[in-house]
Order: sequence, then structure tokens, then C-alpha cells
Amino acid sequence: MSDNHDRFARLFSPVYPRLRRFAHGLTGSPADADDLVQNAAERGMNKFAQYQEGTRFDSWMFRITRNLWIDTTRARGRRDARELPEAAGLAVGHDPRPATEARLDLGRAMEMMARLPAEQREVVALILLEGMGYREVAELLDLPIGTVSSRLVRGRKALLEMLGEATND
Amino acid sequence: MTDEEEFFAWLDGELDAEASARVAARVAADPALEALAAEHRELGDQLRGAFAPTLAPMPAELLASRPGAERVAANDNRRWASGLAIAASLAVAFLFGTQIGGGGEGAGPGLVGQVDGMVVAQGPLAAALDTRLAADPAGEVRIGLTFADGADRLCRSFAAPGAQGVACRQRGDWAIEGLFAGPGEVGDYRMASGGDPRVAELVDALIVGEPYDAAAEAAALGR
Repeated sequence: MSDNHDRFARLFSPVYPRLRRFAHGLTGSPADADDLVQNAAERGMNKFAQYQEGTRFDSWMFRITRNLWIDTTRARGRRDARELPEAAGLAVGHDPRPATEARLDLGRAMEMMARLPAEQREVVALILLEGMGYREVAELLDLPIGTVSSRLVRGRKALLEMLGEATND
Repeated sequence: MTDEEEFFAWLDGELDAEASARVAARVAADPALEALAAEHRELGDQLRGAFAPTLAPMPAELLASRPGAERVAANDNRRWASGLAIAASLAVAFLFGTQIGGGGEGAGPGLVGQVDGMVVAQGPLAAALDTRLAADPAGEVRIGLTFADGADRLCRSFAAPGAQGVACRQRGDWAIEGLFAGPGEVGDYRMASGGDPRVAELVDALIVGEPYDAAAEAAALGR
């Protein structure tokens, strides 16, 4: 029991920082992101017997985290969409510089991600934030690679538009 | 794969050498595509830069609450307090120097600051803790419970846009005992005291006796 816990901790600890970044990309609120990682760690520990030695532990944990997030989003239903502007919480100021020169802060970056539909958001988070390859993401999400690619295109175009918005209003 | 998808796959280094060379030539010959490539590279850099602060090492206590592990006694604050410190640091990072509730140009004061290494309320939060009653009409900062803690300090739970927490009066300042990021859309007394379970947990850990009633609250504030 305790051996298992220690082994899980040894595997989990190096994955934690990336998992936490991924969670921030998904949830739209720092508190929700940390809750998500905490819950994913607990679920991972409880299901650790099902983890297959020799397969990638990080992919296994990313998948658990993503599935938990989907469950939470479904449970919340429509409430989520309404909460987004609140959760982001930070006023977007006027910046006279062109969008590409303005530095994007975490609050606004999370707000932008939170405005993407869930299926684009997870693909963008895994590829643009986490730097995973298309095939890796396709396997992680159980999607055809073409679907990953097309969702990524839509998501990053929407983000680029949002990045320009603050300066054009 | 559409041309557009191929363009982005090229940008992400997903194409084989032959296809990659073909797209590179297409982009090099088209200033508009070149500009688009630059914009999207910049977007990726900005996103990764913005999210970089979330890459934190794992807190030691994250895996402490495993099933079957010995439970920490409910009135023992140590484990809980370390979790709190993390939550607080997150929220503090979130609120420091951030103008809350304003829309103007100049940066207003943040809701929290530091005095002698102690995190304290400032600006509109300090003002609300000093003067507002739970029954006052909803303002930017709402007050929940008012109570005394074991050190006989006056403590109050509050909700502000973007955060909720508890502060206790100490050496003339409101020391922040806990601050939790999250929408502070808290409408009434009941929500401010119990809307966020972490706030409720913190109040439980601190409180000695019963929360003040309206008369005791007003008296404690000299109103």
C-alpha cells in the first residue's frame, strides 16, 4: 500500500508542473485548476493498479486529468459559460501598442482559453501549451489525427483574434 | 488535410521533410502567409509565456490525503494550513497590484499588500473590513461573519470580486488569514460565510465561541 503510494509519488511529482499548467489552460480559474490537479492526483492514486508498466505515465495522468475536467464541465452544464467573465475577473486595459507587442498575462490568457469551446481548448492546451505532437494528442483523446488538426486550426485562429481584440476596441 | 491545416502542421513541425520544404517555399513566396506564420508563432510564445508561472513544483502535501492514510485530527491546522498557504499565494499573486472593480486608466491599489512580512488587507478591502456591516447594502466588498479567534482578535470573512477570505485585526492592520481566488459573486451573509467551503473551513478553524450577532458586530466596529 505504502510502497505503491511512494512509487506513484515518484512518478507523479515530475509530471505535476506540466499537469498544473494544463489544468490552468482548461479551467479558466486558478482555484479550479488546482482542485482539478488535486482530484486527478487522487484518482490516479486510486486507479494506480490499472496503470500499465512500460506505458507513458505522463500520458496516463494527462488523460485522467482531461477526463475529470470533462466530467466536471458536464456536471456544471450551462453554468460554466455564464461564469467565465466572472472567473477571469481582471479588467482588460487599453494598450496602445500593437497586439503582438503587448505582453499577455496569465489572467487574460486563461480568459482567452476559457472562451474556446471545450473540444478546441483541450487540443490547444495539449499542443500549443504542452508542446505535444498531433499523434500523441490524437491517442490521448481517442480522436482521428485529422480531427485534432482541424480543431487546433479553429482554436488558434480564435485565440489570435482575441489577442488582437483588446487593442482594437 | 486542407492547405490551412497543412500550413499549421508545418508551423508545428509536424510535416515530413518533403512536405515541409514544399510549404516553406509556399510561405516564403507569399508575404501574407509569412506574416500569418509570424503572428501564430508570436501567439504560441505569448501563451507559453503567460502560462509559465503555473509551472510550480509539487507541494509535498498534495498526496498526503491518500485513502487509508492516517487522518490528521480535524482541529489540527498544520496540514490544512500548508494547503491554505498555497491557495493564499495563488490568490495573492492574482490580486497584488491588480485593480479590482475599476475600469479606468490608472492602476488603483490592490486588495492586499505586505507589511513587515505579513499579508494585510489594503485599499477598499481594508476600508470595508474597518467599517462595513454584514447587513450593509452590497458593495464591492461584502462582509460575512464577524467573530473572535483564540488570540482574541476580531476576525471577519469577506468576499471581493475575484477572491474570498478571512482577515483578523492585528497591530492595526487586517492580517489576511486566508484568501481564495474565485468569483466573489457573493450575495449575502450566508454566502460570504459559507459559500466557499474553504472559507467555512477557515472560519471553523479560527473561531472561538459563536459568530457575533448584528449588535455585537456593530459594537466591535464602534458603530
